[in-house]
Amino acid sequence: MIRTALRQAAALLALALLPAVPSGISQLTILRGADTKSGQVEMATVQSWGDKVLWVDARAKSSFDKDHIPGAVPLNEDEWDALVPAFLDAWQPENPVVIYCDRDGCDASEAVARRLREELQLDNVWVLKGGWRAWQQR
Amino acid sequence: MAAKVILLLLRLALGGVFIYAGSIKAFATQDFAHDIHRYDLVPWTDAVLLLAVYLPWLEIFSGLAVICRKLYLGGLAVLITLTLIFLGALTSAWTRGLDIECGCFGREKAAIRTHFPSLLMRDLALLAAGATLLLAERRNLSARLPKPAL
Repeated sequence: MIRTALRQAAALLALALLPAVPSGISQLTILRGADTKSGQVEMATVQSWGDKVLWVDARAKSSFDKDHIPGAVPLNEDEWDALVPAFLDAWQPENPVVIYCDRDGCDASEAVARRLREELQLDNVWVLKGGWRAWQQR
Repeated sequence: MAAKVILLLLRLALGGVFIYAGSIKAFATQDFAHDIHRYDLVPWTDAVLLLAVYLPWLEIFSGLAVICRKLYLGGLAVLITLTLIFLGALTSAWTRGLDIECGCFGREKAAIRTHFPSLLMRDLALLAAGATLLLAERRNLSARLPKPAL
């Protein structure tokens, strides 16, 4: 009986591979775009997440007022205490938070991401590679 | 007769739960990958991503095997093993004080907070159903074996 169970279990393990392989190949391409180690994410990956994303604009408030990603909330280190309540109102635990600043290498989004992770203990927080420019060039 | 009906209901319930859970996760791979990662048991590598892609299909096929009684013993063995793994992961998360979503049935609504005791009770009920079906099958197979000549 044990041998039969093991043989059949092996067959099921193999059967499950059939749909998993094609699905995996397409999904891996998308998921790999989200690098948990660096906390950075590609524009294409964020687009694949659909409209569940909460965009956070880490640029100066004046830049935000001029133009921003639709639905984004402003949050930067200089005005942290004033802006964080609005962020918390918009935040939902099941939705990823994606932060952007002007371009690749600007520190503002990294700083906001660090504070959200460390001070507010949020874990689904990402920094958009390429920042605002990546959004404009999407 | 009553025993047969109970076993049939157990089969439908056990298989159905896993088919349902697998179906939701098979089409929400990204959410499931993040859910697995939040248990903080495995680092974010391709292994997590592959697990998130593969596990739902294994649940679906094993659930179907139990309901259709094809590869039945194997299906039961896989579902019991998976349930034991889920029990271990939930217990580990609870003891480490993690406030995470179960991830058992895909991404749940924000209002639902993880209540570990009820999740563990649910998994223990699934385990009991699997064990009952396995024991019944064992008894069934033993009864079918030819009796040794005296």
